[in-house]
Amino acid sequence: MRFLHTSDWHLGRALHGVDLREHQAAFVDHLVQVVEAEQVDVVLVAGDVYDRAIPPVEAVSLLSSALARLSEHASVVLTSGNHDSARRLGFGAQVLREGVHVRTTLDVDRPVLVTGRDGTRAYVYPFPYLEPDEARVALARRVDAHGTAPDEGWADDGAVLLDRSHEAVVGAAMDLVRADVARRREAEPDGFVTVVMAHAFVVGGEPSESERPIAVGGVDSVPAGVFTGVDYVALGHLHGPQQVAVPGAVARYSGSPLAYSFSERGHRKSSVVVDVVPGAPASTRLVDAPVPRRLSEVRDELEAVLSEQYAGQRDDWVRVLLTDAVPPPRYLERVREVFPHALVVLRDPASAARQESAYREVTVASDPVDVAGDFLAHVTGAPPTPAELAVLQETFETLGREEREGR
Amino acid sequence: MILHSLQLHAFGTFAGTVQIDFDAVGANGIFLLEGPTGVGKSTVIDAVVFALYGEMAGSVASRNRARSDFAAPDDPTFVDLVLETGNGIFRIRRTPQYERAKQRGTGTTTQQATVRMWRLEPGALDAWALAPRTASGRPGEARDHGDLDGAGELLATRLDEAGVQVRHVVGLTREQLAQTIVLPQGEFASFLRAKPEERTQLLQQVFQTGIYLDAQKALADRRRALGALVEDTRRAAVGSVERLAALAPDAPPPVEQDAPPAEQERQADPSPVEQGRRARVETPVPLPWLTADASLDPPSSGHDAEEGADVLKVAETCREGSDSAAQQAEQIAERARQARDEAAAALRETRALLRLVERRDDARARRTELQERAEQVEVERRTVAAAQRAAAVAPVLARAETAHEARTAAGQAWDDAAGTAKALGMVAPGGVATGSVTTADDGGEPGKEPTTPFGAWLGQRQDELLADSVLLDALERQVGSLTEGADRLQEVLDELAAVRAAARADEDELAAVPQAVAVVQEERARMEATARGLDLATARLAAAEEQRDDLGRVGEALADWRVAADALLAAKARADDATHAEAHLRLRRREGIAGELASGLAEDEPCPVCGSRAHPRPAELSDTHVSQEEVDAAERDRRVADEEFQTANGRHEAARARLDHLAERAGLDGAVLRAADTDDLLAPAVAAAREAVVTAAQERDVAARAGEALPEVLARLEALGAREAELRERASAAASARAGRVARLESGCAAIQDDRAGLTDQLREVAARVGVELALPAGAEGAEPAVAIEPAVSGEPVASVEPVESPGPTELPGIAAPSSTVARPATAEPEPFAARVIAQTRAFEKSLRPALSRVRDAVRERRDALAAWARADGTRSQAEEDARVRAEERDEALAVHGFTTADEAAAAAMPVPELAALERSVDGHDSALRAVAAELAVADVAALPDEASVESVVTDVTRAQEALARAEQEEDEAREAATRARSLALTVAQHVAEVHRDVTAYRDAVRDSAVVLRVSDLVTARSADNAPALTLSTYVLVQRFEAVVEAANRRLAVMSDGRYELVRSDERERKGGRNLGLALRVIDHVTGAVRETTTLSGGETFYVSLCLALGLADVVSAEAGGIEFGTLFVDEGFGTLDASTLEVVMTEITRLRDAGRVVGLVSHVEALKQMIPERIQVRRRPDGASEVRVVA
Repeated sequence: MRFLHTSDWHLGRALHGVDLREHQAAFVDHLVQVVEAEQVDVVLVAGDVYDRAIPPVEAVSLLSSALARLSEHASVVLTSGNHDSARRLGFGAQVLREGVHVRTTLDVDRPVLVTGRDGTRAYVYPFPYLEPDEARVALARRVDAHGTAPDEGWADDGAVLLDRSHEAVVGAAMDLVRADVARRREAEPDGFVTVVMAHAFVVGGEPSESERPIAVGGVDSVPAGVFTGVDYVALGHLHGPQQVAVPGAVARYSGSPLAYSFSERGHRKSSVVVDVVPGAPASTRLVDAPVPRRLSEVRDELEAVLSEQYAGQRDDWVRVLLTDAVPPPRYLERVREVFPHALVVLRDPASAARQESAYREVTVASDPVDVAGDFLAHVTGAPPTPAELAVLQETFETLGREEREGR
Repeated sequence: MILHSLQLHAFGTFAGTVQIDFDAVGANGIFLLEGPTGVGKSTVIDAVVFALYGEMAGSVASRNRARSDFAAPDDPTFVDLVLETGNGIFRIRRTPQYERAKQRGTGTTTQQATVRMWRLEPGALDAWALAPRTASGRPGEARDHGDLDGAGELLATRLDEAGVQVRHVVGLTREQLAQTIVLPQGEFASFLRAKPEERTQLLQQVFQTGIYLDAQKALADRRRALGALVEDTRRAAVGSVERLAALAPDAPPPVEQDAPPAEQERQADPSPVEQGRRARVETPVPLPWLTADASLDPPSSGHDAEEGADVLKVAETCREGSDSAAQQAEQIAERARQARDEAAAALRETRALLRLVERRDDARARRTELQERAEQVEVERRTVAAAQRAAAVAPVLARAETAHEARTAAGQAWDDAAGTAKALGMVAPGGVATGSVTTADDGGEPGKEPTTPFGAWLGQRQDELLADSVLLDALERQVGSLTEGADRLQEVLDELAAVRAAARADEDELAAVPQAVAVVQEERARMEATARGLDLATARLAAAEEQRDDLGRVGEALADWRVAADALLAAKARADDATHAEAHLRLRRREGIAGELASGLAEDEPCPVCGSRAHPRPAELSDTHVSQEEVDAAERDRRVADEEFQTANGRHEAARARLDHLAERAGLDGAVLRAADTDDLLAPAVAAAREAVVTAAQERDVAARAGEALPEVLARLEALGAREAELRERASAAASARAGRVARLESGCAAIQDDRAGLTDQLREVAARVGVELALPAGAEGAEPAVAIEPAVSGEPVASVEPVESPGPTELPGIAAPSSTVARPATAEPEPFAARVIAQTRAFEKSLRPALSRVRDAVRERRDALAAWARADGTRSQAEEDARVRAEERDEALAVHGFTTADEAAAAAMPVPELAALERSVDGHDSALRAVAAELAVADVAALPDEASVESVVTDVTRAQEALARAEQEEDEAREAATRARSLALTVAQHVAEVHRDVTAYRDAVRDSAVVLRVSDLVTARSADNAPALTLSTYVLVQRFEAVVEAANRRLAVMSDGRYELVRSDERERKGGRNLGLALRVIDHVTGAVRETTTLSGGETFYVSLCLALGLADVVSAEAGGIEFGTLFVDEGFGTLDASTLEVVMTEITRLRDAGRVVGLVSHVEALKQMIPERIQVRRRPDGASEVRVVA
């Protein structure tokens, strides 16, 4: 059966002030076409659907229409990421029409059963972003059947909490999933396929600048080994498409549909078509996402930047780094005239050509005599004479002595 | 400053205890203080600031807010904070002032504020962290500050002490803290918008650049101190100039240009000092500053130095004037000294003339005296000449006399030697030894080639005696060899005895051999007989063993058979039973088969037996009916039992056959054995077989041992035969050795006897020749012959031998009778004879040696006498020749020196001392005459005019002495005048030097202070040279501030997408203010305009302020020794940011974790909760008080 794996839509996000709404809408159009053309059975959206907990209304409208259009051709399973507010996103999930599964709760071992056009049955376990502080309580209660249920709200006395780390909570969720899969295998010997959707930073993944750090207790990642035991792991969070080495399973990040920072200008944004049949490893194939506008960078002195040398990038979303030692007048305006889509214009003088300050670097460790000598040179325009330096030397020595003697 | 832990109680909105472990909550570098509005988020920050300073964070501080309104009246309020700075780890516990219920009565009383502050050990936190957790096990409540009670060093217990300590530890005031480390709500922009003066103080505190301000002040102080010093030196200079001026009136008037002669100096003595004074009057000292008002500041350094130089120039003129006057006086004194020298020279010349006149007169008187003695001196001169000639002849005469005396003595010696020789019987033939043996022409050496008859005779006699001496040496050697021959003979004799003894032992052993051979042969025969029985014994043993083993196997087979027989019986019984059971079952089945068939009947189906479709009365199926299965089972059992029986039968047959076969081999009957119940039949046979094996083994061992011993006996036989052959061979060798030795004995005896005889004869001959009476004493042996030698005057020895007892023909032969040597009879034993010969030879040697010695002594005595005679003869010839030569020399010398005889010469001789005295007398007269002539010829004397007399010259001398006395007095006076002038000049010079010193000191002071004044004015910006009017301390702060701005811009560029950049401005912030260089502007790159910071929007102001605070922390943390900004608090402001800006700002803030810092954000903004997992949640309880929950 065939899945389409995507994630990190970040609806409502702007790129350095540019509203990406229409480009995100274009991506949704593209996605519907792919689902239709490729006869996709299930669409998996692995978290970070919205960019913020409280998304703008345009973003909400876009998601609403996207779900409606996609569900005409395929089932949709959607989870919340670290940018989403799980409860807001999950509002009304129970009353949504058949074929649309928005899963933002922590009952991670309750799979979504979908059946493909080829008759293959698949159990999809959608994990929302497992926020350790919340999940260590909720999952602990389910993992340890003998523990007394912790009180809602403040107190959690008596519960055996999980460690406060991503590894612990994702590991516990996977333990639950593996137990559930084992149960089902007994009941359904004919065979089915299993898919886990998770929003996490798996060790070995390559981050970019646009992901928000999720470190808890100083650690932000999960070892790949915890995901064993299922056929395919659909990961979200990292914005670069990439495969992750999980023993016995195929696991990958689909990446975001659009670049959300200049560090992603080398990425090839895409979605993943996954084919899974029981008893065989999943096979994946990337489908390129539409590129609304190229991202690129220009780093040079202003005159060169404005010259024909970089004419090929004028229609890009560019980041301009000016290496002029002295800031040229009105440089921002002049750059924007030539590069209408310049998103960032920064000065980045080469370290050697850094603007020489009229003032000397002074630190606590500096010799005060040298500093005062430089001061004389600075105010008089001539280097201090030996006699003047001697006076300064004597003055500071006397002060140092008095300080040592406790005055 | 790093916050570790905070505990508070009944503080602000919190009624109970709140415990926050910043180490845990800040582990990620960022944490969030969140909660609804008014619930007390800022109270946490207030508590931190309160613990440090006793005041709240915000400027709207009110101490009364500290005490919680929710607290019970008796519940004490406190705040307890543990923090760390570069100075160490500290704990501060404060309680605020508040009203509490009176303990007695009603109403309230004021509880005063308290504080305690400790310094904790560096390891205290570690130990604390390991302390047991609270029962709930909830993180964040682990640290109870009560656990720290008693730990560390108590630093302060009073509010003022604690204030000082906190300032020292934190390094900032509360206001400064609120601008940098804790950014309170609504005041985050205070540093951004601070007045430059405030900024100055803060930066100075933060960067600890106070030393530059101190230096600025110190230089200003020095500038004042140096002004006083300049004034002091100026006064000293004025004083010394005045002292110099006061000296001038006492000085004498100056000298004229052309000085008069020395005689006139006393009349007109113009002083150079006077001249100097006059010069000073003409040019008054141009010292305007001498009279200047002391309160005025000295003029600028360059101008001042010039004026000082003028004063010095005038003073120098004074010194030069007095010095030149002194020099003139000294010149006059010098001229007086020259005049005195000239007078002294004139006196010396006059005195010399007087001495010459006196010399001339003396010489003339001596010349007259000498001329009177001339005649007598001539006589003495002749006498001296004769004595000198006689002295020349005297040695020759003396030598001639000596030679004559030697000749006489030599003649006497010769006579003595001749007498000695004669006493020994040696007389020269007549006419041979008379007088001298030499002639005048014969210079040959006497004794070597005798040319005279006496010489020839003497040589012949010496040769004869030498030959006898040689012969005696030979005889002595022969006696030695005779003794050796006897020794050799004795050795042979001993060997012979040894050979005989060895031969006898061998013969005895040889005789015993046959007997031993016989004994061994017998033993051998016995053993061979025994060994031959071995094979038979071995065979018997093998047979016995086989019989025994066979019997053993029969026993095993018998046992096997019995087992098989028993099994057969059992199998048979089982087979019978099974057959029977099957038959019984089949029978029962047949009986009940009707019931079985009936049970299979169905309605309308034909009966298999009768075909009827109606079954009116079917048979009942009995309960005990046997089914087909049961029958089949019984049949299977029977078949199995049969098979087992067949198998047991086969095994039984095999066991029986094997038993029979083995019994037959052992000589027994198998049937008999099977019939018997027990092993009784077999046991005796087995015992007998075992005994037979033991016996046969013993027999075989005996035979084997005999066979092993046989080779040893054969070897012994062979050894005996070899020994016999060896003994026989050795006997024959001993016989031949004996024969050889006897032959050597016989020949040795004969040779010795011959040698003895010859020796005796020769000795006798020599004794006779030298005339010695030789009497060989009678030996110890009776058989020794006596030897007597008669002396013979003519040298013909006559020997007479008279044997005392004639020896037998076989006995020892006599010494004197060579013919009596007799060979030993062949039949006699050789040994006794040889022993006798050896004894005789030994006795002979003992008697002969004294005689030989005596003869040798006689020969040597005669040889000595002859040699002495020959020497005396030589000496006499030499002496005669010498006497003759000396006489000739004497005669010749006399003729040469004019003497006719020797006596005449002797008369003219004089003793040497007398002659010398006479010679000196003559010579002295001659030289005195020559000296007088020379004295008179000297030039000065000869030139004297005759009229110059002693009297006239004495008068001249007196006049010259008077002139000298006058010149000396004049010189003394001139010298005194010069000394006075010099003394004055020195005094003037001394004062001038003082002036020079003081004026120079003044000038130096002015010059030295100039540098300090300049530096001081520059660093305090009072100098016009300081064009930017910038003080040192401000300059330094500007450096630091630039670094801060640069650090802030790094973040600002990101947060504003490159739009804003902060710039430091050198422009004055406000009119009339000092130039502090610490103004701030913002460049808006969108418009290119430079804006005031106040024109930024609220949100922009927030993130710009944030960047500035972080930049400040960056710069401070980057350098060692500065104040650490380990923990930062930002209280609100995030609400002013739109969502995407918030995202950017937060991304930057979360990067702070990499810098090792902890940032605490206070906000209720929902998005932050999503972004920051570490949180301090503040919630309101139903009763209105707040409580805290830490999520970390």
